[in-house]
Amino acid sequence: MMTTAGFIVRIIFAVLLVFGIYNPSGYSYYDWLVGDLGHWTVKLFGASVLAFLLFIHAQATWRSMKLIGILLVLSVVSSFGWVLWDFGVIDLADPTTRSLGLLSTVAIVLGAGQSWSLVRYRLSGQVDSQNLIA
Amino acid sequence: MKSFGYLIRTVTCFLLLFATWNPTGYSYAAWLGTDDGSRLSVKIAVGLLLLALYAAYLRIAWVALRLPGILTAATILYSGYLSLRHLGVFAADAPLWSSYLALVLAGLVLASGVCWSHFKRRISGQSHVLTPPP
Repeated sequence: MMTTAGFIVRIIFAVLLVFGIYNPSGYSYYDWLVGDLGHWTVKLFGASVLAFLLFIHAQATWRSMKLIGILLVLSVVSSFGWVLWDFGVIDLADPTTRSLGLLSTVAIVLGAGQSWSLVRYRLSGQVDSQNLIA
Repeated sequence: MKSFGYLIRTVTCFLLLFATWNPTGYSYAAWLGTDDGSRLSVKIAVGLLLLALYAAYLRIAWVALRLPGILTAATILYSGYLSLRHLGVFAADAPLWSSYLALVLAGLVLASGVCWSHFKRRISGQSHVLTPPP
C-alpha cells in the first residue's frame, strides 16, 4: 500500500541516485571516475551498482508512465521552475542553478515514475503487471 | 476499500471539475480570463498541473468503464435525476439541463470510473490489470 511517506522516500532515493551519479559540487561518482583516486575495480563496481539502480528506475518509469506521463511530469516540473524564476527565487542565468534544476527534474521524473504504478493502484485499484513470459 | 475511500475519491473528482470551471465565476477558467495581476507563469503552472491530473483521472476512468460503462453510468444518473424531478424531490420545473447538473453528472461519472476497479475487486474478487498476463 502506497503511503505519503513511501512516496517521499522514493523521491528522496531518486534524488540521491541522480545527484550521486553527478552533481555540480565536485563530489559525485562522475568526479571520482575521472579523477586519479581509487582503483578501477572499485570504480567498475560503483558503475555497475549505479547502472543497475538507474535501469530499475528508468524501466519502472517507462512501464508506468510511458512517454505521455513523462512529458506531463516534465511540463509540471518545468512550469514550477518557471514560477520560481519568475518570482526571483532561482536565477537561471547561473549555470550551477541550471544544472541543479536539470538534475532535480530528472530525479523527480524517476521518483514519480517509480511511484506512479503504486499511486495508481491505491487510487484506482488498477494493477500494473509485467509479463515474465510474453 | 471502505465507504470513506469512495467518498474521498468522489470529493476529489468534484474538486477537480469545479476548480476547472463552474458558473460562480471563481474557477481556473475564470481566473485565466481576468487580469488580476497574477503572473502568467503561475497560471500556466496551475494549468499544467490540472492537465496532468485530468490525464491521470480520465485515463483511469476510461480504462475502467470504456464507452459502454460511461453511457450506462450517465444513463442511470440522468434517469435518476429525472425520476427525482418527477417524484417532487426537485421542483417539477427544475431544468432538464443546467451547467450545475452537467458538472454534477460529470463528477459522478468520473468518480464512478475512478472507484470502479476497487469496487469490482471488492464485490467479485476480479482485479483490473493494465497489462494482463497471457
